[in-house]
Amino acid sequence: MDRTGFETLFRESYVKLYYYALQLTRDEEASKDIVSGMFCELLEHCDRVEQSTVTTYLYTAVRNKCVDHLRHNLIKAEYADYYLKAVDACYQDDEAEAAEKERCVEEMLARLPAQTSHILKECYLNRKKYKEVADELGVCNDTVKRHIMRALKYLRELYSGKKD
Amino acid sequence: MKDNLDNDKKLETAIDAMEHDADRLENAINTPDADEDLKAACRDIALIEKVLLRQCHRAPDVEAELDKVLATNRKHTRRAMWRRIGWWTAAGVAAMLALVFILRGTDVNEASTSLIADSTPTADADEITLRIGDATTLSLEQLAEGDLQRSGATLDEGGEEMTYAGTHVGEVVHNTLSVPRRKDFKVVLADGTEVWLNAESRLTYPNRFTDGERRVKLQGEAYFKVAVDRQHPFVVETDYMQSEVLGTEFNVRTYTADDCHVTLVKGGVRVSDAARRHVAELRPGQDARLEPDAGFVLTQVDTEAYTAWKDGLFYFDQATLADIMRELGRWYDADVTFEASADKNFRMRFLADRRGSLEQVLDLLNGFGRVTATYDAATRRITVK
Repeated sequence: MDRTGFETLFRESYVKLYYYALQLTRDEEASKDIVSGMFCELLEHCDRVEQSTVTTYLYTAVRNKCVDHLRHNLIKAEYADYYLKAVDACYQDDEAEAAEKERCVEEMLARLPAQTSHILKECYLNRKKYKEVADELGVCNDTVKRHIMRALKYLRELYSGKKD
Repeated sequence: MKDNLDNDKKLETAIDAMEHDADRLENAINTPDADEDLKAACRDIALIEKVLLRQCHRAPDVEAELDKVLATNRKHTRRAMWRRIGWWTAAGVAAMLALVFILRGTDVNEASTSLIADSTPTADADEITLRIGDATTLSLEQLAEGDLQRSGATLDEGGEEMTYAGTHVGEVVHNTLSVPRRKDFKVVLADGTEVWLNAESRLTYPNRFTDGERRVKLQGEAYFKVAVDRQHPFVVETDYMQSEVLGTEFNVRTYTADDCHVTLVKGGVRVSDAARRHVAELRPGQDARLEPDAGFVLTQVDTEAYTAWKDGLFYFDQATLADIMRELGRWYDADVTFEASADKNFRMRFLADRRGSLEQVLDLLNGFGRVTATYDAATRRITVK
């Protein structure tokens, strides 16, 4: 891969890799450092890079750096392990299929009742425990989970609706 | 009914599994029934997270990050070069300091004061400028979107690089890019050829190539990384000579009639003088110097001494003090005066950072103890004793 190829690859994949790192680390600065750092290393030996495997390489390199970052910051590795698999899966989809699914998620988020979307944000964007969110809302733990379950079912309906 | 219950159970397990709570997750890992449905549910939650993150966190400025990465790489290249040069010179132990200079025998001193660089400023001395067709010359800052569109160029955000790559249609317009002292600039031509223009240099080129050959005109110094195209030879024309290639990397330097070099890094180049009387073919690692009226003198050289400028370095390999000072004068836009006591023909190896101040570079020179160069900022004059 030459310099122009490198720049194209950078422009095409930087944002995706950034959000991948952000999902794992939840740290904007660290995510930029991780992705940019990885590209710096790539540039050093970019003449030896195989175009066909480069995407896999990029995600693996970023993931390893994120895991290092988490470990370094004493975030439980077990946690990372399991969670990683689920996150990985949603970044490794076929592009078109992933875009379609994401559109469904956007649609779902737009249509959910305010309470449900609030719960999703608190739990997944702000990484609160279900119990914490339940206490804040003055409801019981199971209610929070039921909201999430409803969202997931709704998402499935949207998926299948698109397939028809 | 059972299926529904079963399904709910799985969803709940997935929800538990994806809770941001380390203790719970340890249990989830050990859950044996991580079947496809469960995985799919976890994945949906991860996907919701992904979308929420994108909606709530602004994307980074990709171009700014790219610039940073490329800049770091440039530093790496330079650091690697310092290391390599360090090795050569470090045969002795005290060598790290001596890295600056290796002196060799000298010729007789000239007994007069002479001016070797003249800093007569031109009207737009400080700006990189572009002239599109017959239009007026505009500095890069002055260029409007329409001007760029007409010329077929795009300018990167930092204003450090311009590209014509991908310009294949429309009116053919000749552009002239001028770089003043103290600056250098990179342009990517329509065929993908990369050109680094050194200080006080000018390049004329079409916004797209149409004829059988790709021809550009150069005054000053430039490094070319020519895109391979066997059907269309790439020709660099200068006042004193021309170079013809198919695809290669080389440096062309023609500041004055007695300072004409073509240095080949990769590939193959054919050079000829303006009258086409003298011709030479270069192999990688060779430098061709045009001796006025005598033709080309080919020597095997350390090509980095000729191309280090594009990595932000001054690097002279057994160059005379006069050549070194001329180069410093050109970059820092200063006149250079040699006093009678100074030996202009001292040859030395000298390495310095072009991004450093003139004072820093002169300190390095002076630190060697063989010359004393002083700079008077008021008159922009370097005096060498």
